[in-house]
Amino acid sequence: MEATRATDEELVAAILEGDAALYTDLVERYRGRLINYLNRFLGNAEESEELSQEVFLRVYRALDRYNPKYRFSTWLFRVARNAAIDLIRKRRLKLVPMQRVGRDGQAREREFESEERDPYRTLRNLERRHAIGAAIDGLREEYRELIQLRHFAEMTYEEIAEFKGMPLGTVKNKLFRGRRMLKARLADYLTD
Amino acid sequence: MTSSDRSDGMASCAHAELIDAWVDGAVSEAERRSAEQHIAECAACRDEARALSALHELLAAERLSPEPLAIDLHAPRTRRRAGRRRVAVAAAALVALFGGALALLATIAPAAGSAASAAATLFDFVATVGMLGAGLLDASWRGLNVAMSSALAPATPALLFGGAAVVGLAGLLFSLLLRRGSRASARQRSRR
Repeated sequence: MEATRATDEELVAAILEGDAALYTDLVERYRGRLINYLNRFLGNAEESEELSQEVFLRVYRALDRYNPKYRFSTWLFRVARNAAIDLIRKRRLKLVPMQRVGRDGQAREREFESEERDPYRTLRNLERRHAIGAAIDGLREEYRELIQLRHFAEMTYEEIAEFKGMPLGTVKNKLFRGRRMLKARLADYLTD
Repeated sequence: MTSSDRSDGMASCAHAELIDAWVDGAVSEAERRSAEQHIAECAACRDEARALSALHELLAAERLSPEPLAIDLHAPRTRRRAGRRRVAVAAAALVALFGGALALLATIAPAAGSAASAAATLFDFVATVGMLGAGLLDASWRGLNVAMSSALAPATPALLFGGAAVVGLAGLLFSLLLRRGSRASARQRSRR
């Protein structure tokens, strides 16, 4: 089987028939999208990458229970969403403070690592990232989730419709409204 | 919904949702033609399309680009296979040694005169092989010379020939075992 042309569902069928190596093709197909989707929940790239591996292994172990009536992506992202929610629940027990206390006793915002050498650009990138995060987080759940699925999990409208159990027209309308809100909130960053 | 969410000049245009989907590449061929025709005529929608494109780029820039990584589903199986191979080669080496010893005993027994003296000769042979092995493991020519001169002095030419053949065979099997083992671990390292 030519893995690059096969659909997800064909790959799953071939894997279940014994060609386990094809699972790496499925992993490569979804890894980036899954990490980005998880990162919107977890806000931590390293943790998202680790969880994505766990999700892929969980799905692999349960592959014989896959229902081909639904898209593979729907199942994969459902497992991922549940895994992220579980992790967030566990994480609530050991919250990492976003502020640290400096030598002078003053509370300071925790800094994130950046490869950018120019401090001005670093600051601007950080501000932009915070603004985008705040704008998305500020959306109502019904819009936020669709924005995450479309722009971070890179799902098609049809995939989102199946994932959410919504008519395609509703997906289009909610994405339109969600993006309109984001556009208004991020207007300062859209003219750069 | 905040006031900024509603403040959108495009909201009045009946084509707003179509333009949003068009920018997102989620339109049919007929919708695409309709959107492009409208964009050509409507300046407000052209501005809207530009702003939406900028929003898409802004969100896309926030996506992580993880390095390609394939989950190695075969690693445990390969390790199990390598383990089984090692056991098989070790068993073959033992059989070769035992078979060699028996063949040697069969050769020596008639010349030795009795079963007791044949057994004594075999004991000499085992001791010789053991000392030779120790000499080889020590990888010292000097140690080997000492072992040979002390142990092989009373040995018959047949014993010398048989012992050397068995040790040579065992050495060959041992080196094959080492080479396969190191190849297997190199493969596992390269997969990681």
